[in-house]
Amino acid sequence: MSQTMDPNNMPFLSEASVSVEIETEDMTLNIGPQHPSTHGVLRLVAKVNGEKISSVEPVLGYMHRGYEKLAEVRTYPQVTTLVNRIDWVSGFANEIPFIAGAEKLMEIEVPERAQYIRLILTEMARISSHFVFNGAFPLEIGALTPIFLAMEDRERVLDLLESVTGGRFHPNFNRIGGVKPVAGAGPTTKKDIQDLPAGFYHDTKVAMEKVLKAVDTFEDLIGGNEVFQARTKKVGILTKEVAEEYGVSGPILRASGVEFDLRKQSDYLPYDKFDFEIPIGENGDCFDRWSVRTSEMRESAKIILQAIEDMPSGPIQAKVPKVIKVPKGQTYVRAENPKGEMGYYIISEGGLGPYRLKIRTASFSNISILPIMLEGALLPDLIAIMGSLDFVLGDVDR
Amino acid sequence: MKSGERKTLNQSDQNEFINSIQSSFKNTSYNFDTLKINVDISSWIDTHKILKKDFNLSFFNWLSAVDWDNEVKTGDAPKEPVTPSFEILSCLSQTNSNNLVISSTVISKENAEIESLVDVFAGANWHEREACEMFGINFLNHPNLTKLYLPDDYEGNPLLKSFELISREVKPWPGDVDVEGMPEESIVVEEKGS
Amino acid sequence: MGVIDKFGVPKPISKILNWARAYDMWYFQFGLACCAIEVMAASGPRHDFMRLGIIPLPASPRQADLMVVAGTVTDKMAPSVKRLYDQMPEPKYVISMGSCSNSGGPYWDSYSVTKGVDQLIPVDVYVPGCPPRPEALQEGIVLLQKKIKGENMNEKWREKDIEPV
Repeated sequence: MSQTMDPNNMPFLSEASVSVEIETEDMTLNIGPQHPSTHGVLRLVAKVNGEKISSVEPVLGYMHRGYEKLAEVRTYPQVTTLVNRIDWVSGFANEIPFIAGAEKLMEIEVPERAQYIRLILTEMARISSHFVFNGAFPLEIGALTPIFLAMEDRERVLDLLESVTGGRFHPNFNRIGGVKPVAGAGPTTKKDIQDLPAGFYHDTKVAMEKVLKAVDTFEDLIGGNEVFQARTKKVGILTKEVAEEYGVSGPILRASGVEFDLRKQSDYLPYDKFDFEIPIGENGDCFDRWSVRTSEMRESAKIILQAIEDMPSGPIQAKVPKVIKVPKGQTYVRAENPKGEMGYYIISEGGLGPYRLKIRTASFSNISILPIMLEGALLPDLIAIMGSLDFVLGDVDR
Repeated sequence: MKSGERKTLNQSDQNEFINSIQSSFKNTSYNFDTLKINVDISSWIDTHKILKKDFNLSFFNWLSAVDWDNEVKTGDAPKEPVTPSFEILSCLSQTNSNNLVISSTVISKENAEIESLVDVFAGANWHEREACEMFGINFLNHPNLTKLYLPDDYEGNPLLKSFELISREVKPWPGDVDVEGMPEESIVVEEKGS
Repeated sequence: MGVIDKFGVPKPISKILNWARAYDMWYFQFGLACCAIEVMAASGPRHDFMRLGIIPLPASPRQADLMVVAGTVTDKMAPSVKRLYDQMPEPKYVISMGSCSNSGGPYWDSYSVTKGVDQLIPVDVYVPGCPPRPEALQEGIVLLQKKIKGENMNEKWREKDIEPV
């Protein structure tokens, strides 16, 4: 309200200094693995000198489930079930690069309608993931209200996902060569099988209007909040160069001013048919990371509204052999997930399952900058910085 | 921005990039939209320096390894025999296009050592720690080559093909059974038995 | 407590105490994996398990009555699960939520996953699903409340050491 409350212009903060210098010893502070704000089971061992953090060592592995090994002993359709659960707030989006990789090796052309359905559901997964972020991040830095708003609106999106796939967030809906036909949606004879449930068009329109409204609310309620601004602006600044060297991707990279979005650069799904923008941040601080994600929700809703308007008709499944065997070959397919770049390097030796599956997850690289970002930061900012990275432990530890 | 134009522009850029890589490196392959450079272990670091500096591949994507072996305890063995070895893979990309390069080098199993990439790309740190614990590969000059995921007292390198999943030995994979018998059928069997 | 040890808790008192305990449970959030998001949804406005008498976010396990193990327990995490359970004061209850904490679930053959949290701590209610819907968790809570209401407090408290660790 008054000028002194503007966080960009707070002279008294910079002038404040302690006149007496006291020699203190570094204290070790252990955070996690069971801590409400670590998004699961991350453990941080921080060395603090007073209020200042001198170094941080993340300890991983509390959610290591061994996906890469398990993928070697499962068949391709079974791996889809597993990869759903890597980044558990956007399960559907995890399937896309794996399925696309297997299709690339098998040289299958996916029907356009199936691609549209995939695209719509991926964007819904992105919206639901960013809803969780918009609830959890303010909660971590002290605002309790947004999580209830976010969860309420997220349920609407999950209802849609559920009406199509049958699962709230582990749909396992993609099949090699297309998507799963929805049983129970209209006639269920094999010839006449349907893919989207009745009323999907209308329900999506209503839900997306609600999402757009929710984004406006968030921008007022969270972004316009002075306390929120004071806690996030100019906190945890990440430069482009460091981000690239560590492989930081997704909204965090874009908040640092790099216009890199695989939806524009790559062609794994027909994103080039839609009109949308990539939100870019300027300063690369926590506030930018929040605002990039929130604006992304609006863009995703815009994409979905366009996609349901010009949804093509036709088959939803290409012709594939009954027993799926992927011919020998190696490929790397990546996609823009809500958390950043997710990719699968599939090495196939012609068997029923992959010989080796390397899973590149976004959060793993994203949190590898934590030691650098937190060095020299204030202890109260630790939670804000960590929250703004929006990682999921399943995505980190795999 | 017209979508059609942008895509064709992208395509020609990509072809140019692939050509420039193929002319600078001897042993390359381009299959399934994946550009792969095979380099010798001695030029592993230099290759990355060149790719970073001359080809603007400044985005460190990932680093991992593959265990090539004919005798496998889990999964299927390769159909054609391979020389037992470790293949180290790293992936670099650009942040203004879809260009991406996978570099690969082969090291022997007896002497599983390779120079660390941390000095070129600081982001390789955790990836190399992961590869070390999963395959037992030693990365020379790595600042902190400790276990990343597994407990400190864990023995074995899980991603080796010789590493067995003991649970599967104790109990076979339930997914192998295609269809379970109908309940009526099982009742009939019981009656016959009694 | 000599009298109660000898004659047991009178039935009406036991009933009242059990009724009070069943509908006033501080729940210690042990969100590990995917199921934790469903716990969030269950505590959210649509499902809202506070109407069942579940109070989220106690400051520490020492104030909690109920632990919901929501997600995959790995071998590295297992000691922490055990320790946090031990820190809870009696009477304490555990709901194992989801396939992973019931039996290992999709990671039944993994080298790093504990095959069921019941190997570490006693479990009162198992909620199946991967992940279970919020409604399923609510049913698990209702079942647990039924169990609490039928308890003989005398038996329960005599057999166990009631001091928290």
